[in-house]
Amino acid sequence: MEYILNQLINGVCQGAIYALMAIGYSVVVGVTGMVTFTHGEVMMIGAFASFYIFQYAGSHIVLGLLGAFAASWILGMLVYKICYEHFFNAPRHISLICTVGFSMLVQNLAQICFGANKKPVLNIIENRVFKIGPVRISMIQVAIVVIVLALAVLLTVYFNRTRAGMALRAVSQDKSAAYLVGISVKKTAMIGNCIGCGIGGVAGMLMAIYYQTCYATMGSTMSMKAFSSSVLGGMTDVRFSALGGLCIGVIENLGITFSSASFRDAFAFCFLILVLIIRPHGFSVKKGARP
Amino acid sequence: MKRIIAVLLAVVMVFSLTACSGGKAETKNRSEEKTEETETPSKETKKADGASEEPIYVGVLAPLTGTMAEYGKTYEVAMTMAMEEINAAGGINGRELVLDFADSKGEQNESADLAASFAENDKYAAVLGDFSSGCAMAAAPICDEAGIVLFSPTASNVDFAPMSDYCFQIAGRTDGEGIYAAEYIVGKYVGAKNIAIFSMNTDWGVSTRDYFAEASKDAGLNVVFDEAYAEGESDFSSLITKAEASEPDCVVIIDQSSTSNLINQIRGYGWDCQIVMVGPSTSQQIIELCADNSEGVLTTASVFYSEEDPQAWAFAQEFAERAKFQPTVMAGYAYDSIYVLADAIARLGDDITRDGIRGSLAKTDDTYLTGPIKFSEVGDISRSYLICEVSEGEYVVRCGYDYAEE
Repeated sequence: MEYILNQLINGVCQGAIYALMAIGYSVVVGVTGMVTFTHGEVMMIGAFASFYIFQYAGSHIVLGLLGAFAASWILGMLVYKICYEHFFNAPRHISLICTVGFSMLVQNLAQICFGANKKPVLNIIENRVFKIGPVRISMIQVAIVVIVLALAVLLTVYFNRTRAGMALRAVSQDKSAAYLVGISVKKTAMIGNCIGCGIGGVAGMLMAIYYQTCYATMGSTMSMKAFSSSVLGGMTDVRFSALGGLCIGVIENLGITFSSASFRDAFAFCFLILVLIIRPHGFSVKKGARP
Repeated sequence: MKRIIAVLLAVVMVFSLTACSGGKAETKNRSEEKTEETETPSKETKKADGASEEPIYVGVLAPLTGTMAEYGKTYEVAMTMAMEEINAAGGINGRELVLDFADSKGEQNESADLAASFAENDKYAAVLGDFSSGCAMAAAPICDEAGIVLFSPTASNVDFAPMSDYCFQIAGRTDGEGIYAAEYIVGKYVGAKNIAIFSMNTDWGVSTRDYFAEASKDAGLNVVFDEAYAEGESDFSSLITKAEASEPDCVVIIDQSSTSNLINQIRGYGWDCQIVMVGPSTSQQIIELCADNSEGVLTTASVFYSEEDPQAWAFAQEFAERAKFQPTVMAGYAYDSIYVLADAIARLGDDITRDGIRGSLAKTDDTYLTGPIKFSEVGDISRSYLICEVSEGEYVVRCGYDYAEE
C-alpha cells in the first residue's frame, strides 16, 4: 500500500510539471487561436536562463523564476512576431509549419550557443526528504507542487478578476467581437502568448531543477506531453488542461508500477485516445470552445 | 512589413545553414591541412635522407564531421601524436609513417566507400578504423576481399573481428565489461547478494544487460529488480520507488546517456545504496553532472590516466592540450593502434606486403599504453579492467588489473 502511495506521489509531482506546461500551452492556443510547436523550445530557453542565473547569482529560486519567465517572454514575443502576427487570416497550417520550423531553428541555435552537452543544475533546493508515516516526499517535490499551485491560482485570478485578463478571454472567445468592443486584438494576443510562454519557461526551470540537468533538446519530448495534456483538457481551458497534465502524470507512473518503464508513453497516449473516444472535447464541457 | 520580415527570416535561415556547414568545412580543411602538413615534411626528409625509400601510407577511416565528430577529433589528435613520435624516432625501419585521414561522417555507406578507395590504391599498406562497430563492420567485407588489414581501435562488437582474418580490434569486447562488473565489482568487491539492474533499451544496452545478468547468475547473485527503459528517459522516480521496494544491496546502471540522471534521482529520493555503473567508465561528465551525488559510485575502467603512471599521464596532458578536452579511454586505444601497427610493420623488415602485415599483426604480444595487447584467434582481445570509485570529486583506483586473479 505504501508503495502505491509513493508511486502516486511521484505521479502527482510529474503531473504537476506536465500541468504547468499544459497551462502555458493552453493559454497560447486559447489566445492566439493557433497550435504551437515551439513550446518545448520555450521551456528549454527558460531552463537555460535559470541555469545561468543560478550559476552567476547563486541559488535564488525566485530570481531564477523571474529570469526564466522573462527570457521565455522575450522568446514568446519573437514567436508571435514571426509565426503568428501575419497569419491570423491565413489558413491555420501556415503558422503551424512556421512554429515547427522556428522550434528547429531555436533548438539548433541553442546547441551551437550553449553547447550540446548536458549542464548540471544541482542543489538549487536543499534536498531534504520528509517521511510522513509510510510516505516519502522530497523537498523538491513539495516545492514544485507549491509553485505550480501558486501560479495556477495567480493565473485564474488574473483571467477572471482583472480587466486585462478579461480582455484576453474576450480575444480568446471571438477576435472580431473583441475588436468591435475596442480591444486591441493584436496587442492583447501578443501579451497572452507571452504569458503562456513565460509560464512554459517556469515549467522548464522546474524541470531542470527536478531532473538536476538542462540541455538543448530537453523540450522536444516534453512538449509532446504538454500538447496531449492540453488536448485532454480541451485545448483552451486552463483548469482542465492542468487536470489533464495531472492525470497523464499519475497514469504514467501507475502504469510503470504495474508493468515496465518501456511502456511509459504507451500508457499516456492510450489514456488520451480512450478519453478522446468517449469525450471528443476532452474534459472541457464547453462545446465549440476549441479553436 | 511582411516582406521585410520574410527577407529577414530568409537571411537568418541562410546564416544558420552557413554557420553549420561553415563549421564542417573548417574541420575538413583542418584535416586536409594536417595531412598536407604531414606529407610535406615527409617529402623533405626523403630528400634529406637521399634514400629512395617511400613513406609507408596508412588510411584512417574516422568520423571527422557529423554527430560523432568529437570522436573523430579524438582519433585525429591521438593518432597524429603517435605518428609524430614514431617519425621523430626515425620512423619504421627508417621509413616515414604517413596517415591519410578520410572522413566517414559516422555513416556506414560512406565508410564502406572510403575503405574501397583505400583498398584499391596499392599505396596503402593498411586501414585503421572506423570508430563505431557499425561502420567498421560495413567496411570489413571490402577489406577482406582486397586482402588489406582493417584495424579498428574502438569497435567493440563481438561480431566484428570474426568477420574476416583481416579484421582486428583492441577495444575489448562488449561482453567483457558486463561480465567483469557482475563477477568482480558486484560479486567480489561489493559482496552483494541481491541486485537491481537498470538498463537502457538499445542494442548495446540489451546485449550488455544480457551478458551481465548471465554472469551474475553464474556468480550466485540474486537479481531482484530488472527493468529497461527507453533511451532519453528523464524521469526515473517511479522506477526508483519500485526498485527500492525490492530491497537490493546494490544498484547496477547499464547506460550510456542517462546515468547521471539516474544517480541524481536515486540520491534525491533519499536512497543511500551502493551504485555501480557500466558504460560511462571514468567519464568526467558524471562527476560534473552529479557532484556530491556521485560519491562512492563504482565503475570499471580499462585505462586510467593517473599521475602515478608517467607515460599515461604525459599522454593525457599532451592530448588535452592539443584537443582541448580530456582524453577518454578511446584516445588511448587510438594512440596504441598506431604503435601496434608500426611494430607489426617493423617486424617485417624490408618485405612489406599487405598479407605480411596481417600475419605480423596477429602475432602482436607486447604491453602498450593501455595495457598488454595479444590478439585472440579471431583478432580481438579481452581487456582487463580496474575498479574505480568516485571519491572527493575524482576517480580513484580501488583494485588493479590483477584483482580478478587474486
